[in-house]
Amino acid sequence: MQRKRKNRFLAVVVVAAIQTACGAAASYQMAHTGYAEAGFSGAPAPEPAHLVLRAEQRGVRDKDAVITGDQGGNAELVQRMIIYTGSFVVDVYDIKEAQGKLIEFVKGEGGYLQQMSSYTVVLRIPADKFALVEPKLKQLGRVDDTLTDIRAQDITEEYYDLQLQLKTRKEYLESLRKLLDGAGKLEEKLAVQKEIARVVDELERIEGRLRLLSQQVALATVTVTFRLAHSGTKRTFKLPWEWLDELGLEYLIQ
Amino acid sequence: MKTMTYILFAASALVSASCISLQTPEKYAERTETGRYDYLAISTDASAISVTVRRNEDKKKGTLAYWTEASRNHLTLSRGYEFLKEGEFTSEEGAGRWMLFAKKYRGVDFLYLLGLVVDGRDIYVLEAGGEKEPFEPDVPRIVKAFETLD
Repeated sequence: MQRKRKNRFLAVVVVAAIQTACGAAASYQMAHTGYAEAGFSGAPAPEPAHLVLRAEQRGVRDKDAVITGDQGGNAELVQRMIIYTGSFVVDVYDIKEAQGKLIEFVKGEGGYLQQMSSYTVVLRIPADKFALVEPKLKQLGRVDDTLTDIRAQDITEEYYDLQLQLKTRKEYLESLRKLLDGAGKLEEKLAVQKEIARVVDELERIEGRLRLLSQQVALATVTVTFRLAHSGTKRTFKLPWEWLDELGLEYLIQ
Repeated sequence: MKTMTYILFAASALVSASCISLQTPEKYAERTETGRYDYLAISTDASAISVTVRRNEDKKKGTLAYWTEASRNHLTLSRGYEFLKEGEFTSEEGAGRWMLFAKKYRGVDFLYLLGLVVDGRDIYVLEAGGEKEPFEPDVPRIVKAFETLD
């Protein structure tokens, strides 16, 4: 009887392990695995319903969606997960003032200041507002296009793969807990408990990674380095037409 | 002969300068003593509008886009103006572009509106500015006035 139970226990563990290992190859059938179900609170802006929609519901024109599917041809659309980062160098007349105005702008758009030094600011701004940053910088000063670096990193595959791993590990954990309830011998219980601890650890790691990716997708990272336009770091700006010097309030308001 | 040519040139320049007209917007009054400007109008809040004609040295390459960029760079990089926004307008002298700048001047926030129209050898420089608070509501009216440049 005991041997039978032990064999059953081993069989369940082996089957569960195989299920976990095969997770990556399985289809993204995640229509019911929203952020809330994934078990973390740092969810990005799109609501769960946006994450996975059947193709017929959403239509294939959506440029932010990607088709995934299993071998049975059950194709589904999932939202693309893209991390946006931008790095800019801007020549301005007054660095402190420009920094202040940029921070104010980003806060107004729902972002925040992450880091700040004398010349550089690192800002986080909602991804859908990322495109507004460069025009704003052009208002503040002269953007050095040669040093502008804008990147978009598609992490859709990694993200949904992690979600799938999360799902399969949760199922595995559930089966282990059931097994623990039925375990008779102390050594069996200890073995199951050890396996549960390992799976919980894995789950936390996956959840942490998913949380980080979600935050990176939801908020683009913008690094702006300001240079003083008068400092001569690039050049002293001077155009040869004298009439340009006569422009401005200094003469007009007199 | 030389003197005659000079007189003719000066007369034509005078005629050309005096020909500049702009429909003075509400709240502004035109001045006859225009100083360095070809047209000058002042508001009751001491805001000002002016027009000057400058020589376009390179008729071919000195396009509206060129002078817009040059004056914007000059004001933002050399003179400490902050570029706010820009737009287009059409006048009798051709297509124009306006740009709005901000600047702290004598400790007070000011706005400066610059309009440019390039017509062959002529660059029409339309300027307007004043203290931010009273001047800001005038901006759309002044841009409309720019359209009446003739």
